[in-house]
Amino acid sequence: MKNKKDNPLRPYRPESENGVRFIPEKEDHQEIWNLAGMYRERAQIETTEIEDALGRVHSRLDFTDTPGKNGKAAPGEKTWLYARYLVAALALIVFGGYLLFVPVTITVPHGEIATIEFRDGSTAELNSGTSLSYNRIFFGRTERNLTMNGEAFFRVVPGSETFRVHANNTTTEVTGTEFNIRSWNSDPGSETTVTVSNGGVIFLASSEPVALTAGNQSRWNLELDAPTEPAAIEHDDIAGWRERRLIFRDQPLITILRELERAYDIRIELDVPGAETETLTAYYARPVTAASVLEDITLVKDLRYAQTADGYRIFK
Amino acid sequence: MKEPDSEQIMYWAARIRKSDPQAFDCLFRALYPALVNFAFRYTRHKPAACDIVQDSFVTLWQKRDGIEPEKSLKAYLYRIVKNRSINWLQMHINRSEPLTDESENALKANGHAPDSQFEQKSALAESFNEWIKELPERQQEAFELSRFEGLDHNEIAGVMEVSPKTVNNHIVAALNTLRERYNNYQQNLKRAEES
Repeated sequence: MKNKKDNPLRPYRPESENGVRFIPEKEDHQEIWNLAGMYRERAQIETTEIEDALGRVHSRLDFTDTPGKNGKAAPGEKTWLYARYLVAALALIVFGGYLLFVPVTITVPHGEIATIEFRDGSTAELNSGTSLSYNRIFFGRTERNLTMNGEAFFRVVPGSETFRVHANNTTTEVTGTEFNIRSWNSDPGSETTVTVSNGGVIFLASSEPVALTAGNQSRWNLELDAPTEPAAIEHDDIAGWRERRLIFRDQPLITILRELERAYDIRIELDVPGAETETLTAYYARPVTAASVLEDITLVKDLRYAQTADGYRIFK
Repeated sequence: MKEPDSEQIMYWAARIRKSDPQAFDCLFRALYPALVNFAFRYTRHKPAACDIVQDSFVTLWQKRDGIEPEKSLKAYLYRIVKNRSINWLQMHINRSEPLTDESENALKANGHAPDSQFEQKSALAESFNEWIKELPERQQEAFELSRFEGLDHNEIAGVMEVSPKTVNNHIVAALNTLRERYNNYQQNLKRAEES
């Protein structure tokens, strides 16, 4: 995007009126901007430290009206303290019981891939950043229902209960099979893609169920009335992420960048208004560095990129 | 940790206004580290920086009725943390001493050594930090809020109580100075290599 010379401000988000951030205009400004970011002196604050601090803030909010310095206990406050322990103990008991019935959620850290095995012997391989939840009491006993956001490859053993995966307003039902689901609520239209590598599944989204067999794929997103007709897909494309291969077929740039952020645990800023929806096809058979992928993307799209403190920045 | 975007913060702000403690916790977790660093910039004393930020969040919760949904909560928090940091400084150093670049030395003399976690890593990093510290106060503030805290121009304008246009001028001036310093630094390096 080209700027007017007299206006050094560029809208950071075109649709918002007040989100104007500084974006360096001149190339030598750009370099200094990036360098300064890399050499930031900054204290690392551990999660435990944040939680401690939050705990202190909580205790002050619950039992004092004014922000006092050292939180000295007033005479009347002592009884309150005991009451507090009682309440805490009660809460713990109730909470413990409650926990047994609440779904467990597993979230895979960025940059990692995890495999989990369920009680019934089925497994799920989870891509970076994916979260999956299920009920720890009932799953594998009276039902086999999972809820996920992200991307996972399932190997389901046959069982009397239907194995169901709920993902962003879609449901995939199976009895015994191998398949991949990709469903990120951060992707445009929260698109869900189901690809079967062995056996068959029923893919339900909106009204019409679609039956999928091995080697076929169907997609659904918020803009579609019904899932797409089953289409054959190259076997290599199914869950290439499990071998850390990167496969992008006509995907919006923003989807690709999100994928890279999760796979490499980095942050990528896209400072090119309108570029989010441009599509791109790319295939990497072997693990590569994030920089080399960005190198290719920026070359094809005639953009530039620079390293930042926690990742990269793409600009024109 | 990833910085939450402004929409996310606006959503939390609306929830906090309706007394949702979970939204408060989310906001706290997201902004606490950055705000402690920001307060440390003034106090050069980590325990004080932590206290100031916690106090500010306590105040935010107590005054949650007054949250204005259309205004940036982030700017509000940075502003109160800044004011409280300056107040703390005034209570802890002699009033005759200026609050500018000498404040770090003044605190050292009073027995507050900078936290060891803040020790710098490489020569270039040290130089950059030095140059940023040597920028005129207002330029430094605008630059740091924009570059390191990720505030937009209107938010910085709110914290510094100037116009967004002035904020931009400060940042451009800061970049020009830093560029000059960096060029000199590189030339000195070259000369050192040649001799």
